[in-house]
Amino acid sequence: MVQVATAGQPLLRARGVVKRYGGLAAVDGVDFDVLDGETFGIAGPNGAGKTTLFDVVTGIVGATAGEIEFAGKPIQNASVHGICHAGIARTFQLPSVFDSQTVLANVLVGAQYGQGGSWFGSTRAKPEVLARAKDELVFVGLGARAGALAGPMPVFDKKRLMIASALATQPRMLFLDEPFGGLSPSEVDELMVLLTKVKARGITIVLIEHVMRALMALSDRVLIMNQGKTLFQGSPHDVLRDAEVVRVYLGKRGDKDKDDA
Amino acid sequence: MNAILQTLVSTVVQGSMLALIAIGMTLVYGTLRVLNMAQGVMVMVGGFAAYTTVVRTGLPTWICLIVAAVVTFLLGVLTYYSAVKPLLGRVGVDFEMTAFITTFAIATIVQSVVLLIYGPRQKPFDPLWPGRIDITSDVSITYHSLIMAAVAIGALVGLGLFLSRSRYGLAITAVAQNLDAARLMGIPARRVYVVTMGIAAALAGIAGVLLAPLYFVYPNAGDLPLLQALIVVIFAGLGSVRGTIYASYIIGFLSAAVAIYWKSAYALPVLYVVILLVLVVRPNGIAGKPQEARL
Repeated sequence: MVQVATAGQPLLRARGVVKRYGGLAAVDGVDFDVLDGETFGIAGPNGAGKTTLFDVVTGIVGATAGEIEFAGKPIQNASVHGICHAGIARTFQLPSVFDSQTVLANVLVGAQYGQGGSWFGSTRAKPEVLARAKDELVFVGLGARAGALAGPMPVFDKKRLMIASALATQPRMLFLDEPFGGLSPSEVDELMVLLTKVKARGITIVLIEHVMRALMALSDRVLIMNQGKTLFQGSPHDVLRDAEVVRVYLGKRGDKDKDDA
Repeated sequence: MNAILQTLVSTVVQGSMLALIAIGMTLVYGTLRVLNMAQGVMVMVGGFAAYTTVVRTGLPTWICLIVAAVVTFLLGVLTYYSAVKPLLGRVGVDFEMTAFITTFAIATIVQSVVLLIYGPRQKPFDPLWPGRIDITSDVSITYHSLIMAAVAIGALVGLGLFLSRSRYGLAITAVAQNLDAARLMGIPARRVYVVTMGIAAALAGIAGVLLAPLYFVYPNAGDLPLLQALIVVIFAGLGSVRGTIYASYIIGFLSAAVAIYWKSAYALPVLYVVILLVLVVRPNGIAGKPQEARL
């Protein structure tokens, strides 16, 4: 995919995003910019509205109010597949794959349908699409498991498969919902290397994460949410010094890694 | 010995027909979560489409299979746009229940329109291939039964290949198993829905042509097939393709065995008892699984 030279410019702009479920505001007026090429971390206590914010940006649920712009175009009313075709991909908190399909077929879905175009053209089998799906599997380290069924795979493999499927859609921006959750320390290290490689491809990353070690190491900037609102926005270095973040989210020993995902 | 042979033949023929009708309901339930009550009238319309083609044009009967498939495919697409699409994504609407009722409404409307045009009388329909073949001195199979089984199994194999080998089939499976993930990977779910409903209806339409020489062509010809297909899909566990195939042949065997060894009038009541017992023991059917394992 041709990358327009816009590094440092906002790729995603969110202004006054609100999502209300009845009387409960899960996301309550959040503003943020994600710059092209950066890695943007989102953290906060359970129920802070992080995943709901992802759902709103990726179109799974509609925003109650607010504006979201991606690459200069409003997307708050776009369809889920339209948002994908625009260049946004996403993984889920719980491993979410097509269980009865092979690993390769899972990635093929993203490679085949991720770019849009005319529907009937997009359903034709093309060798280059298959090749790209295989490349992404190799990229995440699942090249040898292409023929295995996705359903019975361990969590780490499913998480990498979700990333491969998302990358196969050729996104400019990748949303990762707790990619490190439920992984062993050695798997966390391995995934950090993988995400650094994703970043090196020029893909902008937004990730929700409780594993502070990973969040701090990967993020250029972080957003800490609490009860649907912005608690802190700035560099990962400053977040540990912010008294309010320490009180609400990190706890007393805020300087210590918090690996309780 | 002859009774066993007869039961086996009957199982294959009936099971294949049941599978052809029920698989459409399974596909639609798997992708859309709609228990499509219009599947029965597709069987009936398939029969009428073939009857009209043969009577009006005198074209060879195998062409009427294609005509019936095309007509019912379009009617399935129309059902999607009129009864299902307006309900999609509506806040505060119980989608599954409402779509169940709207598809039932479509079935009633289609049935009334056919009644208005053709009248209530049962119309005879010639077998696609007359004559019969003797297996033993007592047991013979009509050529038409052989065609029924062959066409049904051919259509099911074709469907299986379409779902497992084509990119379109991949999209249908993806939407059925994980709607959000499929849409986030760029699949426009509604394009998948409309084709799924068309294919489901076309399969029932083909079944309608095959059944026409046995049960005649008339406006209520879809009632019994719908009832039997409902038994099959509930027995199978809603949404499971493989379960539906197994269940079709099990149900086909049961009704054949009851009819041959006991009395044909008891076949349906016995099926109800069996389905009741199965649901008590396995509330999700024999192959029923949570959503992510469907299709």
